Amino acid sequence: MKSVVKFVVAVVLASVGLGCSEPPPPVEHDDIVRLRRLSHRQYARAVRDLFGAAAPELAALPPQSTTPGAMPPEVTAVEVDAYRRAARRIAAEYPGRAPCDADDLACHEQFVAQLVRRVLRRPVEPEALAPWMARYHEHGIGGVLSVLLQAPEFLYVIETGRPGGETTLDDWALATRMALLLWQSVPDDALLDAASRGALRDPNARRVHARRMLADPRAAAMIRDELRVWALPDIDALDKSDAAFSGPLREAYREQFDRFVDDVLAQSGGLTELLSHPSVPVDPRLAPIYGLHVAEDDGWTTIEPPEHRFGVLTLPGFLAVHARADDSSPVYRGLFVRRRLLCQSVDDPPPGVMPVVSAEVAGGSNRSRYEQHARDPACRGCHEKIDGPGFAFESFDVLGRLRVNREGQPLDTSGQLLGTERDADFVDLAGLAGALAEHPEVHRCWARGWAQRALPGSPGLGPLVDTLAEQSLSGGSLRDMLVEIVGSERFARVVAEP
Amino acid sequence: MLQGLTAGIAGGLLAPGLGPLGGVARASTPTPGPPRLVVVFTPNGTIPEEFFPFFPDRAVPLPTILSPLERHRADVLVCDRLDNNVAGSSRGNPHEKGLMTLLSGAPTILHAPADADCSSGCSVGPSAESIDQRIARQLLGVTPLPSLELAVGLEGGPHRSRMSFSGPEAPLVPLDDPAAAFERVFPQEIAGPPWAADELELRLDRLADRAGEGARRKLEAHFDAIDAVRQRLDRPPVTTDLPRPPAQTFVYPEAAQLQLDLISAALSVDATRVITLLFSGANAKLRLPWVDSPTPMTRGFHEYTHTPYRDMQDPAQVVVRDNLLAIYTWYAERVAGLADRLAAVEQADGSRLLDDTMILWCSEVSAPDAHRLSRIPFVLIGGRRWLRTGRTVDLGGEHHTALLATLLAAMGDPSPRVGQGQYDRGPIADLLQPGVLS
Repeated sequence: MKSVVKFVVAVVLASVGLGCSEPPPPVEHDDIVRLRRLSHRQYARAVRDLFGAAAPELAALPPQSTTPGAMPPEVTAVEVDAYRRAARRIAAEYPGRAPCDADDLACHEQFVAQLVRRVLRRPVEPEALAPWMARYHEHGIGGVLSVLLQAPEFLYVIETGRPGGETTLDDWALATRMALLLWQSVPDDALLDAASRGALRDPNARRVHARRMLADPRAAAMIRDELRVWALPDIDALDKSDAAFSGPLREAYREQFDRFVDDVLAQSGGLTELLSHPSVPVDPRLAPIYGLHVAEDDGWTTIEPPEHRFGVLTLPGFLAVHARADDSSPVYRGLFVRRRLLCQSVDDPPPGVMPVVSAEVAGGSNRSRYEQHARDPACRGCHEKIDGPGFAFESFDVLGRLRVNREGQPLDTSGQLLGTERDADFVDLAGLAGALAEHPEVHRCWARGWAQRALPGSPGLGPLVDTLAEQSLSGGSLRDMLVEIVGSERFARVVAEP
Repeated sequence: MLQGLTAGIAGGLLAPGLGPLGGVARASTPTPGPPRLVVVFTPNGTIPEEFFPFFPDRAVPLPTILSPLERHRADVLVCDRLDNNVAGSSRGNPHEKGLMTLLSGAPTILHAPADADCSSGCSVGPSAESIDQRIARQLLGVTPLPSLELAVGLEGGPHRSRMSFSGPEAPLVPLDDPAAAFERVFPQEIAGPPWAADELELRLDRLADRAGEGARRKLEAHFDAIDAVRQRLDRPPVTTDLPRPPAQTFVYPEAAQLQLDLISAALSVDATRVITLLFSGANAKLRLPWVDSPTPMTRGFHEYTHTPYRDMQDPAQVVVRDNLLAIYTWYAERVAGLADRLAAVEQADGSRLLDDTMILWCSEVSAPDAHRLSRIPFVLIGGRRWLRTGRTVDLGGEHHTALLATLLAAMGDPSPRVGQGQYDRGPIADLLQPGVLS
């Protein structure tokens, strides 16, 4: 019944000049089969992109899960109140005014309908415009905006389809999926216009739009953000007891990471490049970490470090985040390899298991202490897979500085990558990174992460992930991967959630 | 069920002026005030050997970590040998499951591991609501806020920093920004057209009509949340003399002060009766360089905790012991500071706000070196109208769900039982004043 209504809507909108020549066909289903709330990060980007507004009300809330595809939990009163206060403030500050004569009702209607379409990411049905117009006449455009920004159709990504089954996604929801993946934000007018023409149903048209969107700075920002929470979790809380550590150094770690990601993934870079890129941006704050001198007024310059460094795993920020406050940690660094590069599940030690005894008691090198794991059968099963890759990083200290020995002991950075479909021996981090850069499981894990960001919580991503992983393994770029995802058949389908 | 417990009343140690039962409400109190509950979570367990009093019936000082509570001795009820076996029998990271089961007494729901945000399988919560929310539900509409969730310096993802749950896997969001927290209790309204809650609820309803079960549940939760905000806005605003904190005060000790002040202010004006305060979150890794200690705090909190107690006796490891004791004692001082604040508020009948307020101080593990979940440090302070304070009780390895049930009983819950199966426990009568359970 309601699908007929939608058909009419599209025709009417086309006639008032919002859509273009050709109306989309009626959607097949009106049942809501998937619903997920915008993350706080997506909300903040949406109001920034739509209105140039900040969202301190949401920024004051604690961070949400950063796992790709993680579902924000049920909304709480605290969040509803934050939405309410943010909406009222943004609405009060909104400068938009209808470019219409006071008595030109059609013009005002079009102005309001356009705003509703931008915020709710789909056109407003004609009979549904009346309440918005009533509010507009009583409270002005701010009164409309205040409600729009709290409306469930803004706060939730709503996908309709066949209950219990799979079906094709409607044009507007498809536009939203694209914007959330490529920008972590909401569609712009060009994308909504394409949706209104039904153009996004064509995989090639989607690819063209994806390329346009990837050229936008919003895409670079999305990539930086996603990779920062992946490789440098909690960087903002980083704290070290080393006297050389400072707030400005922490900022430099973060900025270097962002610049590195920009450089590597801007055009043709993919995961292989990310793990092996030889040059890095450095600035005067980071120069001492590399044992270099960079004059204060040089700002950022790109260098090939004189040391044996390449790729994201040797960035000082990465090495510092995956370490303890006062020392490097083969376990933390090894866990990154297991969990984040190989997507392996690693169980925590069971209750009652004693830790590695600490340096002061045991004496000897860090490695010899951790090697107690290998001697203890209760630890070995997990730790030989964690500590193995972790030892490769021992040539870098808690701040990411190169070291050749430690406490007078020569460093041994050799080890084995175990428990994978293609295990490897290595003598140092170069060897490990090289093995990882061409490891099928690592590329599959990378592909899985991006597929989950594109289709959060969706079942049946295996075939898509396989295709993406293969392309990545043969050197495919991240941008091509994103275009491939958007152009895939799976991307335009919706599977009902339970 | 509770036979064999040894309840030692610290007879000789009570504050002057209190009878041998110490915790009995004063006869002069005309009508007891409503019970309030404040749960204070501090991370990374404790050093049991330096925490639990072994000789509660002797006139010896409190153990090192509890020493800041010396001045509240008559109000303290230490629960020794309570185990979180609910967490012990669940899979997952011990810190994370220790926190999620702490107030819910229900096992965590473990999903297939995604890549790595949560350490071993993703859980966003337990399979049941937490007791603070069960109480809050019963107080709905009685106070402007059914409950208040606060934090100081949260770190890590939600799986490490949520303690209150309104239902299975439905965590509440604790506010660690003191300005935002203040705003929640003492809101400053923004000028503008009236809030269109009706319109929003209508839209939610229309969507729910078209939604499958999973989606409808989320929309209904949104509807309820709007209702909760509306109820608060419809009531006359509560006011306070407390100054509004500056935005974004995230310096840890300052934020702690501000949040403790807010708890006292919120309870004083009856803005809410149920508050939780989470320091950092489970498995806290922060460094606490401001804590007074003989040696510098070079490591993060969690890094110190993985030294076994027996190794700390080694002269080379005395640094670890000194620093850990200083950290744990610093947190104890925050708890004592909250008791100070509540003891200083005199109520209409002359009693102290602390007499009506039960502070539960707890952590996600016991001895953290090996992530032990037995002998969790549970301490109650205040609430002497309901609790028999001024002593240590040896609970002989009882499940911690029994303590949760005890608090429900004290808060007036008509059916105070918590947990499933073997963990389904009723209140511990010995902790309660006579008459509470009748």
